[in-house]
Amino acid sequence: MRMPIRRLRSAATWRHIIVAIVVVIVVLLPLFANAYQVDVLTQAASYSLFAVGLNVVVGLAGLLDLGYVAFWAIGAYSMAIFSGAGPIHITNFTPWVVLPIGIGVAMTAGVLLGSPVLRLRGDYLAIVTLGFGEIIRITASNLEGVTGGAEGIANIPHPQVGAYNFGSSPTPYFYLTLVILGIAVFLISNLNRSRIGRAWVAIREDEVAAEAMGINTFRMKLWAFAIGASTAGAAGVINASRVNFVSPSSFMIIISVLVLCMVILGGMGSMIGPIVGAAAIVIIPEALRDYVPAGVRFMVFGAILVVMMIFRPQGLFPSKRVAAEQHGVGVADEEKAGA
Amino acid sequence: MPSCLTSELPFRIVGGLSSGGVYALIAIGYTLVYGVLQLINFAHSEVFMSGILAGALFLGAFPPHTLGPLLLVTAVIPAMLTSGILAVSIERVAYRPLRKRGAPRLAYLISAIGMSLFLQYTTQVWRGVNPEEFPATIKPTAWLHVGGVSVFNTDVIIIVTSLAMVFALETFIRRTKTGRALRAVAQDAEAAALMGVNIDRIIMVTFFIGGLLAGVAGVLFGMNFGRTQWNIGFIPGIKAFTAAVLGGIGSIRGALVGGLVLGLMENVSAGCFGTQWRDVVAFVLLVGVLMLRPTGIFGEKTV
Amino acid sequence: MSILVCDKVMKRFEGLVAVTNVDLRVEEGAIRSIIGPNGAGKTTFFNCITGYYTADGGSITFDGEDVTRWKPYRVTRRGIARTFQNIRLFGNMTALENVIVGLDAHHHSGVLRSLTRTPGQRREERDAIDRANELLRFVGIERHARDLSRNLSYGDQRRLEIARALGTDPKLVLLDEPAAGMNPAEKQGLSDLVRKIRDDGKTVILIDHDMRFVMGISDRILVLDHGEAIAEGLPQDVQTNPKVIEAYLGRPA
Ligand SMILES: Nc1ncnc2c1ncn2[C@@H]1O[C@H](COP(=O)(O)OP(=O)(O)O)[C@@H](O)[C@H]1O
Ligand SMILES: [Mg+2]
Repeated sequence: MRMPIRRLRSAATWRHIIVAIVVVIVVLLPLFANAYQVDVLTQAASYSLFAVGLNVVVGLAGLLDLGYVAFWAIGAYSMAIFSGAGPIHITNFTPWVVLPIGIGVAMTAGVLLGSPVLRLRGDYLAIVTLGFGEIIRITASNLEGVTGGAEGIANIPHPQVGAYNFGSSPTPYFYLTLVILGIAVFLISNLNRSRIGRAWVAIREDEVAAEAMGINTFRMKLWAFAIGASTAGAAGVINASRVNFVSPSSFMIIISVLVLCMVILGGMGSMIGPIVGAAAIVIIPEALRDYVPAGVRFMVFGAILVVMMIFRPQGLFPSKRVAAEQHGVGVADEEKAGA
Repeated sequence: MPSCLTSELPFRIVGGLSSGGVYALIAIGYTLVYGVLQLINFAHSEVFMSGILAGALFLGAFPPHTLGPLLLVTAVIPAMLTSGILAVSIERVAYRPLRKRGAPRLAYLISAIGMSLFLQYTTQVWRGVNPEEFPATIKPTAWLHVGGVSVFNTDVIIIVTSLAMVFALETFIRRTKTGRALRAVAQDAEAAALMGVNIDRIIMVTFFIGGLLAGVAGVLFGMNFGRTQWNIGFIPGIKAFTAAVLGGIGSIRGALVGGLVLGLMENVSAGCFGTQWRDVVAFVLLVGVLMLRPTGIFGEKTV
Repeated sequence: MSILVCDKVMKRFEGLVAVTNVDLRVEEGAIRSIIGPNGAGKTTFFNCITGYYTADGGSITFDGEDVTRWKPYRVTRRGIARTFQNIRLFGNMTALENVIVGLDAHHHSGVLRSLTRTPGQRREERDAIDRANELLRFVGIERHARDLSRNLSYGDQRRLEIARALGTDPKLVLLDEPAAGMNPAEKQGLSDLVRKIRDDGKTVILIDHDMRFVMGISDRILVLDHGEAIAEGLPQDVQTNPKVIEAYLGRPA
């Protein structure tokens, strides 16, 4: 009886060692890469952060949010507007000050959107969030006085540490994003192993039973939404200050689906999965850039979603529980009446 | 009073009913599938798009001087078949394996989104990024002048066709054995299976019918809009879904009413707020309707 | 003292009155049964008490507080736990985790404490494991603590569902057909468990079809038929009540 437990523990140790080695390699990578490659790595890190946030919503709470890109947009526009780069000058904050503000604004938007829509059934939620994503984008293109309209907002300031300005070289952004990613993963995996994480699993498995256990299911979903939104907000702020420009065309629905694809490919509900998925989906197409047209890439992403759902719904680096759920029985009849 | 509510109003009403008729035909596909599978078939917007494209390709094969109303009517056939077959294939590939496994609902939604993406970009790779012409077969002419408002022949064709299709479908469901089986599955799939209904077949028929109507909608849309493009299905798709929800999802007549109401509302409000807000109206309506009936349309949850 | 007072509870579904003006008064520490033919409205009555349905008429008072319109999770936190007629465990959680979800009802660590894993939060987690093991032992399935709940036998799943309900630290436990599908030996075991729960200071209301099983353990019995309370009283009185016999044997045509 003791053997399997010990084996399990040593497997966990091995995993930690491997993760540590990978982290070290990733941290050292920019030393061996040219500026273009570091830029791609930075994008991968940025999307990882984004995917880690969506994973809380989709993988942990089991809610399909197709308007997720809206929170990224909200973070990015917060950066643009509060830094004073936009057509209206409310404040002239530095990126460091805007970062918490952007996270807060995105989180607030998550709560505001979530409160009405999270009472809806899963399918409706998906389509309403899709609509919300479009509303935000269309609004951003039409409110010229605030968002600069379709032209967007340029000259967003770069962060500064003492006398050192991040400038437009990708390397400092890479490390900044990595640090925030590390913090996000640390906090979220804590949450996942807590009472909150259990509540999410319970809701995913059987919402009716979850309520009978005293779980305020609505509130737990709202938390997932808010945490996902604030993570996306953080990614949006940093990204806007890196590329130094925002415009509505960066926030098409397709981005939400792309990030969903990262989460699914890597493994819903797992902590490393979405990061691996994001890295793969940013880096591989970039490497094939000269050989594969953009349309084909998205074709493949669509196919990945379908094929994964059919053959490996738990993703490449699955959470054990999600794997069981996806293949198991007992989840399907969530709304059967128990007369 | 703004002019969108006075002098412009009758004109906007006709236009609204005509785009509403197209929404209604697409909406039926959502509603039927939702009835039997409780699933939003996100890829239905691409089923619709395939109908436009099939119509365009068919008409494009004829020399321009032969194009006329008769060819337009003929173009409906390849469009319906393309959309119908595509819809059935989508069910086979993206949903049936999940259904056999008893996969959670989230898996269906993801598969549906993936299918939609795949079809859009396959079309883009095949047909290119830019819009293509949908060959003109009927010259829009004002048929009627009612108090200074002209009613175009195209509008009349769309409205009449959608009413006729809805009527035909209702008759099919009431009168035929397959139609009754379809209704039985929608009410209670398990019970229907116990009564000897072949669920797989009924689901296939459901997708096929939804596809056929989307094909008709595609030709009507193409005729009115004059072009087609890889992503042209997306917005009408969401709007049609809104229409289905508006009319009460699962109900065919509801899809018709919902489609017409949505068409009206967005056309009138586009007049009032400007065309750039047109799509926002539909989304706001969708969110609003779902909000006012938070449990969806089904009432209390059951234990 | 009455821990639960149901006063003229009514629940309608379009066209059908599933529960009609049902009164029920349950004393603290009692074991109560509700019996009646299939479709009599027993489960619906439970659903009204636990907040899954909002009663269309009447009121439900629990422990001196009106809970008629409360949401299920609040009802649970206030002290009413339930099981489901068709077992609703979290299939991909272990037995132990299922019970811990129950215990979570009274845990205090919210999102902020869980994000940062404060010492208090970690203590709570540790204590939860001990307490959950204790509850599994109480219902007699401690050997399955680490098994996925969907791999448990039917009888053990029923027991696990009870353990999970007890995890929420209820004053009143509602069991919906806990004996369904059990053989006589298992039913005996279940009777013993129900008494043990009562002896532990809780009040129990259970639903079942099996007269013999119910007679053996109930203090009093409520009989529902077509949503109406047709009899209420001591087991032996209910058993000989002509209306009850009629409901069970079918009406004369
Ligand atoms: N959500 C519901 N919608 C419609 N009818 C329902 C619903 N829940 C229960 N019923 C009906 O109420 C009646 C009582 O059911 P129920 O309480 O499950 O009976 P019991 O548990 O005594 O077997 C039945 O006729 C059942 O069909
Ligand atoms: Mg029952």
